[in-house]
Amino acid sequence: MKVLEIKDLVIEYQTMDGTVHAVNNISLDLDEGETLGLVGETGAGKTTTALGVLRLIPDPPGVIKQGQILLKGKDVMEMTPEELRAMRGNEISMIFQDPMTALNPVLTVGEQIAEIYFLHNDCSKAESAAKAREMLEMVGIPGERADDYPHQFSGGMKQRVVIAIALACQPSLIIADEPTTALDVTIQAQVLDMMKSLKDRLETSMLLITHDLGVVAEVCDKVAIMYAGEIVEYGTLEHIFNQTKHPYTMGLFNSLPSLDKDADRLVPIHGLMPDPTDLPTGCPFHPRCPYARPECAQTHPELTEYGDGHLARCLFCGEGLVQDQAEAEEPVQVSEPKSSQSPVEPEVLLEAKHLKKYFQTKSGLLHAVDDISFTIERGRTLGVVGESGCGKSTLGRALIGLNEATDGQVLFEGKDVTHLKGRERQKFLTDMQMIFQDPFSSLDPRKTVFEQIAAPLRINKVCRSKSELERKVAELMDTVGLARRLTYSYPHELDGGRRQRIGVARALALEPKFIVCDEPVSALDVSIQAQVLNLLQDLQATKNLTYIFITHDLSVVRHISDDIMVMYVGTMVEKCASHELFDYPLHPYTKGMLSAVPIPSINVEKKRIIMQGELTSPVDPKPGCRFANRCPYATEECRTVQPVQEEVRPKHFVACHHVREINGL
Amino acid sequence: MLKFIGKRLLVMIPVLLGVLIIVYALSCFMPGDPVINKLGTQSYTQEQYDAMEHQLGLDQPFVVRLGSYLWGVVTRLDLGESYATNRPVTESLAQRIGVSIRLGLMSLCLAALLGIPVGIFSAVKQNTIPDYTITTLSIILASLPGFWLAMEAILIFAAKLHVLPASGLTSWKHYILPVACASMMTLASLVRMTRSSMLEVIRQDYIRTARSKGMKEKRVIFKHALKNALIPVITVLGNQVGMVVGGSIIIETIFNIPGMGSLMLSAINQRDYPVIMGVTLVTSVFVCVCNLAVDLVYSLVDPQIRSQFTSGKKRARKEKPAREEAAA
Amino acid sequence: MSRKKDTASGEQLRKSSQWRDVWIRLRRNKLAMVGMVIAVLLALMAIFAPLIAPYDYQVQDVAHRLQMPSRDHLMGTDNMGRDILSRLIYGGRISLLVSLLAVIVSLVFGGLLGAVSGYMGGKVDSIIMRLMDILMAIPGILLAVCISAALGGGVWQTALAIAVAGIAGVCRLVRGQTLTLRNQEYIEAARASGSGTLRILLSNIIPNCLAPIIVNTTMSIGGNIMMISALSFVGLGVQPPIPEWGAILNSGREYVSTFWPLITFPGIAIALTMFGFNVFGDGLRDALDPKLKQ
Repeated sequence: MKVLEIKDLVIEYQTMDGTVHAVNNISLDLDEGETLGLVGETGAGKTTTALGVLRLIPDPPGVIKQGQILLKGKDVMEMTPEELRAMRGNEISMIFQDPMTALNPVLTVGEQIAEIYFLHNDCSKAESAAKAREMLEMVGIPGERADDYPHQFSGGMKQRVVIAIALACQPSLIIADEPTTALDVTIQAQVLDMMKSLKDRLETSMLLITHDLGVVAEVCDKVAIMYAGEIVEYGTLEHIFNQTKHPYTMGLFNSLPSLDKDADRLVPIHGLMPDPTDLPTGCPFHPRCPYARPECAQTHPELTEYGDGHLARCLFCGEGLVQDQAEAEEPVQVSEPKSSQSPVEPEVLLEAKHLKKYFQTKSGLLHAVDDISFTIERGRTLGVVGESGCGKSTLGRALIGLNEATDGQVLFEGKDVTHLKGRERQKFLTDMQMIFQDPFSSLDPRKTVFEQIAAPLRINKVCRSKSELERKVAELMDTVGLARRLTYSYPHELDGGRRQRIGVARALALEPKFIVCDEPVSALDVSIQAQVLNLLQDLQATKNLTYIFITHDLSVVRHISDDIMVMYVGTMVEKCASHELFDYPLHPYTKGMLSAVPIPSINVEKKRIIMQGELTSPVDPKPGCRFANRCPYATEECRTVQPVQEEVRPKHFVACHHVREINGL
Repeated sequence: MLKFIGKRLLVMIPVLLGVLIIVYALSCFMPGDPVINKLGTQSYTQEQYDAMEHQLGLDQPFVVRLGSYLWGVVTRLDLGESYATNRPVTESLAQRIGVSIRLGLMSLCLAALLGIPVGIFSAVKQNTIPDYTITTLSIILASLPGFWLAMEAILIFAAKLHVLPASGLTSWKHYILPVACASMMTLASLVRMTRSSMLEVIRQDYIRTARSKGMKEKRVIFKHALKNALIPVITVLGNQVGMVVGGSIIIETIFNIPGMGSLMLSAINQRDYPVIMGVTLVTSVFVCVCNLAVDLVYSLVDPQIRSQFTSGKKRARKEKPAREEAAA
Repeated sequence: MSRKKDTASGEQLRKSSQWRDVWIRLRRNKLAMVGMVIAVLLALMAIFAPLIAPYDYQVQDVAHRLQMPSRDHLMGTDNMGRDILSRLIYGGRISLLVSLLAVIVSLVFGGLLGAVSGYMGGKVDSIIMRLMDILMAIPGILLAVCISAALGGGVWQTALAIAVAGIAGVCRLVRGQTLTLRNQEYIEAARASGSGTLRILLSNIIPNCLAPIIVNTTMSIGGNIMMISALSFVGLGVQPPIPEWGAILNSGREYVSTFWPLITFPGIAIALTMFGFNVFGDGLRDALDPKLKQ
C-alpha cells in the first residue's frame, strides 16, 4: 500500500519579479515504512514540495497549480478544511529545519508536545500532559523537563523536542526538512540514530529532505534528486550511488570533498542554479552540463526508466556518459605541486604560545581558548576542526588581533604581534588577513563590489591615484574569478559563491602572507563550495600563501589541510598531519567525531561510535579533561587533572591521559 | 521577583535625582526674578530686595541651593514652598495629583484595552474591508493632536449637541471627553503596532509548526501568536506612558480640570520654581513606576525575561558561547 | 526562495541601484505618495508664503473680526480681524522651520551619542545611557515646556527645547542599530583591514543605520510640529505676533463654543501635516525594509 503518491505536482509563487516556478511536474511515491530522500541544492524546490503535501504553502503568493497528492489513496487536494486539519499532525507530521525557530518561545515544550496529542485524540489535558512526558523520555530527554521553555534547551535538544512533537500521534508519514543541518556532527549522529530507530519502531514512512548525500546514504531506502523544481534522477540507494545516470547527480558527487580519498582538485559544477522565474528552455541543467549537446537546449527530457525503477531525466544518459575528467571551472593558474614538497627547509611563519582568550560573561569567565600552542610553516595549511562553541573562531580572531588575547603570545615571523596598536597593527595587517564565514553578513550591504575590495587599499594608502586603484581592483577581481561587469554591483545582487569571492579578493588586496579562513565555505552549496575551495588552493600555490583553515566540516578540512588540529571546548585534543589524523586517530573524541560523519557512499562498512551527552560549558570549567563527561574511558584522573599534549607518534600530538592504553601503543 | 523590583526601584533613585538636577538648573535660567515677583511691586529698596532674596535663600551659590533642595527632598520629602502662595508645594500637589493620575491611568488603560484587541482583529482580517477601515482610521487618528481634538470635542459635544460637559470634573460624564482625547493618539499607534507585530509573528517558523499540527486558525492566533506579538507592543506602551501623561496635562487645562497641568502652567507664568520642579518630579516618578509595571508585564509574557528575574545565573549557560564571544 | 533572486537580471543594474529600488517600491505605495505630496506642498507653501497668502498676516481690521468663511476670507478672520488663511500660511513657515531645526539638532547630537555609546560599549555606554534614562523619565512635552520657559520664546530657543526633548529617542534608536551592526562580520572585516574606530563609525556604521534614521526623522518632523503647537498653545515657544498654528488655536480658546473656524482650520493644518509626514515615513519604512522585498 502506498502511503503517499504525488502525481504531476506544479507549484508556483507569484512575485513582483514574475512567476517563480518552484515545483514543476513532480511525481513520486512512498511505501509503508520506507524512507525517501529528496536531495538538491538551495532553491531546488524541496521545501516547497514538502509544504505542498501538507497544503501549507503560503497563499498568496503560492499556488498549487495542478497535481494530485494521494495520502493512502485519499486526495489531499480535495480535502475540506476540517479533513485537512485532522490529517496534519495526525497522519502526516513535519520536522522543520531550524530547531531554534521551530518552537514557540513562550510555551513550555511540554505544552507544545501535549497540544498535538490533545488536538487529535479524545483525551483529557492530564492525559496529554502525561503523553508529552512519555514522548520526551522517548527522545531521550528527562520527562520532568516538560515544564521548561525552549530557550533552556540546546540546539540538539530542541530538535529532539521537535521530533517528539512530530511523533506524538504516531503519524503514517513524517516529512523531515533538513532535520540535522543546523546541528553539530556528533549531535547529528545522535539525532539521526534516534530517528532511525524510532521510525522503525513506530513503522512510519519518512520523506527526508536534505542536501547532504552522506545523510541520505545512512538513512534512506530510495532517493530523488531534484534540480530546478524537477526530479532529475530517482532510484534506490544502489542506483543513485553506484549506477549514477544523470550528469547533475554526477556533478554533486564530484563536488564533494571526501573523507577517505585524497584528491588534489575538486570538480565543481559550472555556473549557478537557474533563475526560477526564467528557466532555460529544454533541459534546465543544460547550461551547466559538461555533456550538453545542441539538442539539450531544445528538447525538454522526460523521466525515463533505466531498469528496475531507476529513472533519470536526460536525453543522453542512456548512452552511458563516461565520467571524463570534466575540466573544472577555469583554474586561475595551473596548480603546482604544493610548496610543502619543495626542498627548502620549512620555515615557521606563525607561532602561538600558550594562547588564552577569556571572556567575562554574566554567568562567569568563559574560557573560549584555553592554553593553545602550535606553529604553522610558510606555505602550508593548518586545519582547525571542532564543534560549535569549541573556540575555533575565537582562536582565529585572536591570531589576527580582532579579539586581543588574554594571555600568551602570537609570534609572526618571529615578532610578537599579540598586542599591537595603531600604526604597527595596521602594518601587521598587511601581512595577515581574514576571510569570514558568512558571505551575507561579511560584506557591507551598502557598498559596491569595487568599494568592498578597494577599502583595505584605501585605508593603507596603497595606491597613489584613482586609476591605479581601479586597475588594482580589476586585477584582484580577475584573480578570484569575478567578472568585471560586476564591479558596481551590490552584494545583495550576487549569490553566495560570488560574495565569498569578494571576501577572498578583499583579503588578498594587501598581498598578505597569511590568511585566517574562518569557515569560508560552510554557508555555500556543495557545487559552489567546490569552486571556492579550488580557488583557495590555486591562490595558495601561486602566491605561496599560508592558511589557517577553521571549519566544522571534516571532509573539507581533510581536503584542504596539510596539518589538522582538533579542538574541544577551548582546548586542543589532537594535532598531526592530515592523513595521519584520518588514518590513525588517537584521541577518543577525534575517533567519535570521525565516526559520526555520514559518508556519501554505500560501499563502506562503518562502525559508529555514538558519543552521548553534549559539550561541557566553557564557562568556569572544572579542572580535568573537558571531554571526561562524554568519554567512555574516563577515569578519576581525567576528571581532576587536565591532560597535557604529548607526542605519541612522530609529529602526532595528543592530550589524553590514557591515549596509549586505548590505542594499544 | 521581589529582588528584581527592589533592584529596579534602586535604579530609579539616581534617575530621579538627575531629573531634579536638570529641572532645578533649568529653573534658574528662567527669565523673571522671583524676588521681585514675591515683593509684588516695582518700588522696593535694596534692603527689602536683599532681605527677600535672603529669605528665599537665593543669595547663596547655585550648588549650595541645589544641595539643600535635594537634601530636603530626600530626607523630608520637602519640595519647598510655593513662591506664589507660600504654602508647601507638597500640599498643593497632594490636592491635585489624584485627579491627574486618575486621568493618566484611565487614558493609558483605554488605549491599551481598546488598541491591542483592535490591532489583533485587524491583523487577523488582513486585507479585508474591516482591516482597511481600521488601518486608515488609525493613521488618521495618529495624526490628530490631543489638545486640538479636545477643543473640537468641546465644540461638538458640549457647545453644539449639549450631551457632555465641557469643563470641571464632577461626574463620570466629565471624564469621557478628556480621557478619550488624551488616549486617542496612543490608541491609534497601539493599533498599528499590534497589527504589524502580529503580522510579523505570523510569518515565523513556529507558527508554521503550529499549523502543521493541524489546529484551527483561531487557536494558532490566540495560543501561539498572541503572546509573542505582544512583546514589542508592551515596549511601545512603555514608551508612550510619558506621551500620554504629558498630553493629558495639557488637556486638563482645556477642560478646566483642577489637576497638575493647570498648576504647572500658572507656575510657569509666575516663575514659581518650586512648583515647576515639584510637578516635573512627581510626573517623572509616575512615568518610572509605569515603566516598572510594564517591565513586570513583560515577565508575564516572555519566559526568557522571567527566568532572568528568578535565577540570574542558572540561565544563560546554555546560550551559545559564540553569542557571548561576539558580544564581548 | 523567491527572495534570493540575485542572478542574471540583477547583474546588469549598475551604480546606485539600491536607492532606485527604494524609490520604485515607494512609488507603488499610494498612501506614501500622498504623504510626500503633502510634505512637498507644505514646503513650497512655506517658501513662497508671501506670494500665496492673500493678505498680510499682521494687518488688523477690528471692524471685520470673527467673520465666517466667505469669498473674501476663505477661512474667515480671527479675533483681531486678521485673515486666518494668510496666518496659517505664514504659520506653516515657522512650524516647518522650527521643526526642521529641532530635527537636525537632535539628529546630530542624539545620533552621535547613540553611535558612540553603542560602538564603544562599556563605561561610556553606561554613562550615556543613564543620562538618556533621565531625559526619558521626564515626559517630552514637560521637558520642552521647562526648557522653553527657561530659555524664553523665539525660533532658536523653541527649536532647542524641542530638540533636547527628542535627543533621547534618536540616541536609543541609533545605539540599538549600532549594537546590532557592531557584531556583523563586515564590521570585523573592516577592522581586519586596519580601519580605525572613527572610520568604521563614519563609513560603515552610520550609512547602515540610515534607513531607520530616515524613517525616524520623517516621522519626527510631524511629531515636532505638534509639539511646537502644543508649546505655543500653552503660551510658550514662538511668541506673537509671529503667527504659529498652536498660537492661533490658542487664541480660539475663548471662542470655543461660538466661533469654530479659529479652532478647526489651524487644527486641520496641524493634523494634515502630521498625517503627511506619518504616512510618508510609514511608506519609507516599508520601502527601505529589505525583508519586504519579495
